[in-house]
Amino acid sequence: MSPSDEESRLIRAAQSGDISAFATLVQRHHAGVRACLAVRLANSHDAEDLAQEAFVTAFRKLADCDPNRPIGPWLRGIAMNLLANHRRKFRALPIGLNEELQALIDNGLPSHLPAERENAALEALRDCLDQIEGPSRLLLQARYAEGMSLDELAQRLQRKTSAVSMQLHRLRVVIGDCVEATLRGTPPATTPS
Amino acid sequence: MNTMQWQTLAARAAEGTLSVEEGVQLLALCRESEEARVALMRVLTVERLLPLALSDPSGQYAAREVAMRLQQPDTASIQAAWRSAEKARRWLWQKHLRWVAAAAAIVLMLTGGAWWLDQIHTPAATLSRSEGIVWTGAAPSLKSSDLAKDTRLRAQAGLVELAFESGARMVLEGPFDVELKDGMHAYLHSGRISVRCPPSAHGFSVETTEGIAVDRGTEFCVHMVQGAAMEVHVLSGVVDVTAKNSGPTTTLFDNEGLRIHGPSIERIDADANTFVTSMPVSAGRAPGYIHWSFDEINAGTVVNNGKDLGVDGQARLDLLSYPDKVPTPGKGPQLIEGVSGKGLSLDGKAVYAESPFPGIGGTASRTVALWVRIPKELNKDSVYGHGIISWGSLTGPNAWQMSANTIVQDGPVGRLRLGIYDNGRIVGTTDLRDNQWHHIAVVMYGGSRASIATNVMLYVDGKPEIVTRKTRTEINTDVLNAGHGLWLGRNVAFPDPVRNGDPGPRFFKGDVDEVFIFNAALSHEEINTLMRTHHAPQ
Repeated sequence: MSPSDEESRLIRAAQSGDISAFATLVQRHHAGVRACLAVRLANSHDAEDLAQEAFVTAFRKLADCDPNRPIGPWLRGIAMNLLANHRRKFRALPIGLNEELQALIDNGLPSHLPAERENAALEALRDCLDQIEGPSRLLLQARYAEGMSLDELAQRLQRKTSAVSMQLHRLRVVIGDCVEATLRGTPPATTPS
Repeated sequence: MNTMQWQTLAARAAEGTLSVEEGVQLLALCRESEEARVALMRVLTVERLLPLALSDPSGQYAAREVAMRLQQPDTASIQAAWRSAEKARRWLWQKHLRWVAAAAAIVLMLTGGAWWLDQIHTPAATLSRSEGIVWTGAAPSLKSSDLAKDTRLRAQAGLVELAFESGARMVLEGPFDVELKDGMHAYLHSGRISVRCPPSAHGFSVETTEGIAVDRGTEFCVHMVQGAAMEVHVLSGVVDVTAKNSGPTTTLFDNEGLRIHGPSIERIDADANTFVTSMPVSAGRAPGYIHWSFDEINAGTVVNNGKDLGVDGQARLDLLSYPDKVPTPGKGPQLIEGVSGKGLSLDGKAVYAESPFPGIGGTASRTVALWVRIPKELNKDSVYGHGIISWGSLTGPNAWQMSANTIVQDGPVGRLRLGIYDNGRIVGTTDLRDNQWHHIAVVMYGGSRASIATNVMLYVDGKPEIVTRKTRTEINTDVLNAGHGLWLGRNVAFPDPVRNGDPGPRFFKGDVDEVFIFNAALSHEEINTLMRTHHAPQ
């Protein structure tokens, strides 16, 4: 598949040093690159930092990029290389301090979401989120956009931390089902509320 | 698959709080059940994509940051650029080139991104949420939450949260007057604001007539009194503050503050308790409540129609005549025609009502709403004695009392007042002394830094009440040491037994109906529903 004429023009302009053209490419491909990093990293800040690093690296290597081919996979390749280096340098503690469980998750997530499907999953997730309103939406917003901890949320909602944790878990399950159904092209019979 | 066990373990795995034992259990579950493994992958995928899905959908901030970094090829990152700028600024400062240094530091940060911002014709900010807002003049268009550059927002009361194009989030507390210059710059004419800046909003600035505060990745608050002083309070991170009239740039770190008034610059401690730093979050559940409609009374006791608050019959309401301790038919407050069915009339001499329900304590969220009719003759000479509904103890600011104000020094007489004793109070604007029914409500948003100034909203007849006076006193209602339950129509400062030297009875004169107490902070919309229907919002 060849890229659109506009994307080819943007790549050529960026190759000649036009940062604003490259910024437009970043804007278009940020979600895809970040999503493929996000599902492979437990820390969302690390995923954000690596995505930014991937684009800066990509700009410096733009001469290697073929304007006649889609830039998405090329950017994704750079991001995956950076991820491999990151894992070598910063070995995070495994989930539950259990190496086997971590390996199961590390292998399971990419196979659960095949290559380059992360962006589609992100799009589906956004669609599913649009169907969530009211207190559940506010809770998700506070936790994931504002970065409030479970304890902060519990204090604010005057509930036990465990109760907030389970409410968030139920939301993740409902959203996960919705995403899965959307990706299969069969939206769920009942939408989350 | 053991569903309950899996739910708990999967929730902890997603949150990163799985213990060693739980890690072993989850691994075992995933090995024995493919269904459990697939479900775990699904949940983890959602957990990891949610922060991305809820932020920067257009990729604009990411593009801007990348562009800024590419503009500075010799530095590895924005943070490194800042560190260089800081070093240069300190060196120049030592060389007495203070103004050059200040400008250099700001310009270095802003120039990288300024051109990019100019390329994009986007609004300066969007109005993400508001609560009980009373605009001054024209309200922003309701057709779109987008606010164009140079929009000026003025409000007399309420809370607003703005999401700036740069990613900065600002909470404004009425009254305020602010101009949104662009996605990275706001001009505060007056009012209190708090700002939280993610990395994409580094360099965000708040300007006033007195000076300018420039963010360097932080959470900070600004208070500007028009024609007077500007205060900057840094809650976390670093902020550079430059006075308009004099002096160098001052760098403030966590918990540091600065007051600027003309040539006077004074260091102060940051006081987070006096600012609203985040918008109230609704309870996320149906709240428990007490409801006394006065339509059903058994042997001098009002039946509670509420649910999930005041267990074991605690929430009955005994109609009493002081000093009697038990309801005596014909002696307590009298039933009258109310707003809906029967209401209760209190004579201001010796009648009141008491519930064993002790009230809502500590810093917990709450809402108290009722209809009230207050006689025209209430005046400052009716000093004290006008607690409409109250609970808590008088050992410090540990009480909770709604009344019509009668203390001239605290604010206009006859206005809705919430007092927490020991000089903690907030007073509204609407004169309630017209012998007409008014719906009044007080909403408190809970939290560890609950202050009567920042966490309480007053409503009269379903509208947010403009506040005339308030103190910045922390709320921590003590229901354990009050020695009595909730009182209706009796001032919390009139103890039992009566102390020597007390000025005599302090009872409320007026009528009440449809009293509701919720263990959650109701929204403006819910207050209106309550006023209209006399039923708790579902």
